Amino acid sequence: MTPRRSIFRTLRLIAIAILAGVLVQPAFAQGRPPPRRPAPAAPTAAPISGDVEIEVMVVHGTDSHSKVDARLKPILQYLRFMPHTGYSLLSQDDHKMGVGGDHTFPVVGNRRIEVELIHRDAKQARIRIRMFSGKAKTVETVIAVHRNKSFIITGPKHDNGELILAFTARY
Amino acid sequence: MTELDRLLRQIADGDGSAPVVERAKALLLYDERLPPDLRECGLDDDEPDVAASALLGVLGLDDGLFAGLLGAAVRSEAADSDVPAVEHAPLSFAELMADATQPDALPITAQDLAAQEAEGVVPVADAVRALAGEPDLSLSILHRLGVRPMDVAAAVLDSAGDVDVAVDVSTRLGALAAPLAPALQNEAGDVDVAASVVAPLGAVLWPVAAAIRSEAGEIDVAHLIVPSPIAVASAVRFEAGDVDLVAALAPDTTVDVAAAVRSEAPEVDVWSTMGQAFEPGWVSGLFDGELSPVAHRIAARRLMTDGLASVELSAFAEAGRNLRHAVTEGAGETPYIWAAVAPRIGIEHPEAVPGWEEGVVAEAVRDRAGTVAVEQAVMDRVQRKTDRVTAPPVVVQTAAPANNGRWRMAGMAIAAAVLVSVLAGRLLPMAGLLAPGAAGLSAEPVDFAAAGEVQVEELSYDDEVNVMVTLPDEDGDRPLIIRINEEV
Repeated sequence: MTPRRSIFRTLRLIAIAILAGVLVQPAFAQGRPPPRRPAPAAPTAAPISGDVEIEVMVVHGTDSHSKVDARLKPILQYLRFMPHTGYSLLSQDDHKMGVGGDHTFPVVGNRRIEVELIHRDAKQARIRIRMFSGKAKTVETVIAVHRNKSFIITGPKHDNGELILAFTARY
Repeated sequence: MTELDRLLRQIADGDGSAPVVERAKALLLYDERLPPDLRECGLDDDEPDVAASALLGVLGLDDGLFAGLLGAAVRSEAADSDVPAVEHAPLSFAELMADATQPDALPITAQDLAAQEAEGVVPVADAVRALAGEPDLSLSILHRLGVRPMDVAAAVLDSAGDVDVAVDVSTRLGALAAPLAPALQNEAGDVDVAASVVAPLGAVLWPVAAAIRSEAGEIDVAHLIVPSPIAVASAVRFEAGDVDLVAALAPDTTVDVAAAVRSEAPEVDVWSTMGQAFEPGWVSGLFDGELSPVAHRIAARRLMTDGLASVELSAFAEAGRNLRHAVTEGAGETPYIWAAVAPRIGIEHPEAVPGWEEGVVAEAVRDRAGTVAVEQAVMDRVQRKTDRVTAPPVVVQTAAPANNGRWRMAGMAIAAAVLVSVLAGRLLPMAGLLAPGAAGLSAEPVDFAAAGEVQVEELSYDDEVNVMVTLPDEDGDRPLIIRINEEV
């Protein structure tokens, strides 16, 4: 092998190493590794944790621009039901709680969301959601949602647009 | 001498009893020798003998005073007006008295005249009256005086015309002519003429029908008239043939069901959808995207079971590629004109797609597909297709170097690259240059619940907001969306 070819080979290996390092960043950028869950063969066969992780994704929808945040790719197909042209991810937070437990998620615009786990079984979880704007409670609802399924609460005004809140119950 | 004459003589002689007088009156009414007036009142009931004598004198049967003359005078008066008067020239009274004084002519003696003058009665008039009665001499006198008698009755008739006195009287009285039949019935009562006729026969009438039946027995007249029953239906059918009663009764009652349905429902062209998918060229239409959405789905499902259609579709794809290749070879590469056209129509960035970041699709595909090793497959394909004959490599045997630091250097470079990348992943987010999860959201996929996987059990909201719930669909394409409207 000629020295030139060996240099090219080395450079190629370095590039692959850099690329591999970039691709694996999401696993380290969040501060903790994502939980490794094996793919369940059947819902009843999967191990069920006692706690339920409530994930809240806050998205800002507006008509002032027509750009879509790349991080919203996983839910891009559902954003077409929203009446806006531009979407950006504001925050994403999650919290584990047991039955009877609750947690408050802060939301931009002096808002907060209180989530309480009412019931959980192998099929679905019942959660109570209270939305506050300042000190005033605007909406309170109880939703029964299947494991690892999501739903959307939207409408609170923010920055010439509105907030789109995606709730997910993972367990 | 008639019976009347004899009876008058008898009465004049003083031998007239009541029956005789009545009989004389009856005969007097029909004796045409006397005028009508004299017939009715000729016999005076008070002095029938005097009246009889006068009548005898009028009839010329009396031989007393003025015998014959008085009768002639009376008859001349009773006759027509044109009837001449007495044959003789009219005599004066003196002549008459002179004749009368003749003893053989006049029955009255001088002594009688003297006696009558002593009584103050005009003897002539009284004698005439006694003999002749009360003759009406007016007509002859008027005629002699040259006065034409007037037929008053005829004159009145000519003036008045025919006068139906009976009708006038009835009208005046208000009597109505009674119908004859009610009048008869009123008079006769219910009269059964037949019974009246038969009753004298003295026998009970036999009912005719019973009599005939007893003699002849029961007769089936209908059977006699029609010996054999007639099949009416067959006869009618023979004459008229088969008759479509439905068509005859309701010739125009065909119900256009299609028109009725079309009038109620709008036009639904099913064939344009179904037929489009099954026309002979449906595979071509499917390949070219010319089918409607519904037909496209139908055709796609059919394609999964129709092997020939699949082969045909593949042939279309091959033909398309060959066509494009031929066109490109013949016409050359198509110049890229979008970059020149876009600014002219107001698009500043021709390559920018609103809502899509550059590389988003590629990264999304890469995330979905994961790591795909294509290098080996590509290299295998390239080596397989190449027809070049390469010379066997010349292996130059060279001595191994005594010291080889190549791999040591390469290893160090690789380690350094890995370290740099790890540090960059940790430091860049801290510097705000890269948001957490820059490469995407959490590793867990976001799967929105479909219908049946999520349910809103309770919902309450403030009076100043309005909430609308959009339920998810069956396929899970549309998630559950609770929309809060704060602009109420």
